[in-house]
Amino acid sequence: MVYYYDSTFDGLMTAIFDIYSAKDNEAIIQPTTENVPFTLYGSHNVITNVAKSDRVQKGLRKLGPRVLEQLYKAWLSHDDGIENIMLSVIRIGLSSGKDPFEQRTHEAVCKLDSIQRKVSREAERMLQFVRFKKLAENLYAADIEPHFDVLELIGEHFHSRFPQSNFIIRNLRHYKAILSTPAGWHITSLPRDNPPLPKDAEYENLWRTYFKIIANESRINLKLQRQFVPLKYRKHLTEFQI
Amino acid sequence: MLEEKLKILGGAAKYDASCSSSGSGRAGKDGFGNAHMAGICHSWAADGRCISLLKVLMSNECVYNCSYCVNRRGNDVPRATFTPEELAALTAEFYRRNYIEGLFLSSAVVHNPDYTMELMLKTLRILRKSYRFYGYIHLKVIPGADPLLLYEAGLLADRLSVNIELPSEKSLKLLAPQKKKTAIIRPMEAIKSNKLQNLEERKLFTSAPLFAPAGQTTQVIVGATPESDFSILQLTKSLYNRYNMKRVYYSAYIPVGRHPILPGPDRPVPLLREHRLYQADWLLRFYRFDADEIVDSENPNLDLNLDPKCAWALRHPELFPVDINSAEYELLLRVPGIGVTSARRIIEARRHKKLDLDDMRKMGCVIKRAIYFVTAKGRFAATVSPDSPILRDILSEGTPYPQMSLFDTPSTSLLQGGSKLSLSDSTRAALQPVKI
Repeated sequence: MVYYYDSTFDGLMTAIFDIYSAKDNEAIIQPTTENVPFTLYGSHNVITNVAKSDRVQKGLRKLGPRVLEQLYKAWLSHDDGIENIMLSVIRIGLSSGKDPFEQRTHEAVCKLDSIQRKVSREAERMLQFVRFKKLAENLYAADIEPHFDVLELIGEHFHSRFPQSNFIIRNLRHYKAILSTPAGWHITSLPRDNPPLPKDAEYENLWRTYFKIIANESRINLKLQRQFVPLKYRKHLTEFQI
Repeated sequence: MLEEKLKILGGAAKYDASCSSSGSGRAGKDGFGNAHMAGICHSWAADGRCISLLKVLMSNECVYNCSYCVNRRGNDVPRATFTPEELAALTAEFYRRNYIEGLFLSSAVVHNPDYTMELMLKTLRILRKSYRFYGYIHLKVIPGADPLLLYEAGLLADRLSVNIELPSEKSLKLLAPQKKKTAIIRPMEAIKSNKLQNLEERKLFTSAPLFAPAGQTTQVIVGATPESDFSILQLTKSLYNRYNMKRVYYSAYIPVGRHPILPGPDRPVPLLREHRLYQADWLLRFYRFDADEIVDSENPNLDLNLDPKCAWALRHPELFPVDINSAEYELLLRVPGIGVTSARRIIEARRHKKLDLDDMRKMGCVIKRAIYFVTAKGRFAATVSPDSPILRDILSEGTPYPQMSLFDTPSTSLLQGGSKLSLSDSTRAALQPVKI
């Protein structure tokens, strides 16, 4: 049976619930698309149900303190077929009653963990690479273009770091933004067309000056630098702009 | 004007290796900034080293004349001093833009140690008290400053450090006659005891102010003086044990002046030696090695072609191969190709199932090294045993870091450093039949 869900995490958890209630050992989960492809399998439209989702999440939490978080991060990759790798891993966890991520001998676990790590890694990079420009007193803005949709993983960090400021972090790849004010933060959608941010010349120049002189000329190692700051991230990095 | 000062005082600070912003969880709602427990690097400079903190000197107008130091009084370089106000403002503006995690403040000695510390503390007071800045601050303590200033520094900063610089008292006397060993050791002891006392206070009163929550570190210059790796690692060990150091940094000496007993500017910077010392340091801190196991008085220097863990394993063939499914964690950590993470994963995974080499690969082990030192399900998969004399050649690395001299242009020496495996002819011959 193919289970179509509405591309929300609660929807996916509901699908897991339905699969377990139906004792369906050959289930496949897919996000609902506009034109449902022809399939020889039967199909089931999952109706997202928060109560069912909560029950599944509660069960997954019991397997280990980080299991749910790791599954969630892997899901954020929105890789093709990620739901089915997650289903295999959840099956391994629920059947053993133990943390599935400790059972890396299973190919699915190994794969899901590496996807989960990639997403975490990029979220971590965004903590490093966001560069705010000051637009007005106490108003800041930054642009990022991460490969994965990691805004949810970084919002709290920046909000708690600058609790009294107003700022926006625009994700120009997924057309979403973090809006943060002293009252709290949330994610909002962005239009396709976003005007470039104005320059913040004085401190951008000072930062570039510092960036240049702090390199030790007798140990230049551009290959190592590229390993830590891949070229794809440099577009929005003040210090790499001329 | 500010840009000129930043050039001079940032440029003069780049010889300090430390840039870590970890170990503190400072936070406050009434201002801005917080410290991230694991630290955050914000960029990487052209030398491949991370930029986490704004690393500058308060001033480079030094009254001392230490031979190894670019800021020595006798050296003809441009001089500058930040005012506390401008440095505090610069730090805050950089921080607000997410360029940095905080400030790393060091200084040359202006007039005298107390005067210098007072300037630095004034900067920190502005940041913490006026701006309500809760980001990370690493303060380099000026040896010889008043203990009360040191105490205040600990209350304002997250991490304190005193550079030991030269690995022996003899070298210190020769190269930095104005610095006394006791003047370096005394603040280290004071930081340690203040911190211990602070921990006791905080048990009684949770509101007691934190003293240097991220502890203290130090730096040793490598290659300026003739000390062996053995004496450097013995020093490291005692620094970790005696002063509860969080980190000991090693800095390959870059010739900045001529002196009869210092290496001249034509001597290559010992980057590979520095790298090996860091690897050895990792073995001390995370792999439960003792300094005496890594080098001893008979082999006082680290092997430049071999990482120190491989070198140790080759000296102890009697312990290998180990059974991956039963070896204790401590022993797994000692297998070349198995790191802290993969050792933990092996322990977790083997509770569920017996592991083989392919499983080890899934755990993230480096099989091409580990294969010579493990058995899995009773099987030893390598064709060369742990005590074989050719194993050393197989495991030897080409230089990952080129040993550059100033006469090389960077591009050519980078190319030369690219060779990977250097097998001797005899090894190649020995390996031939195996491959068939």
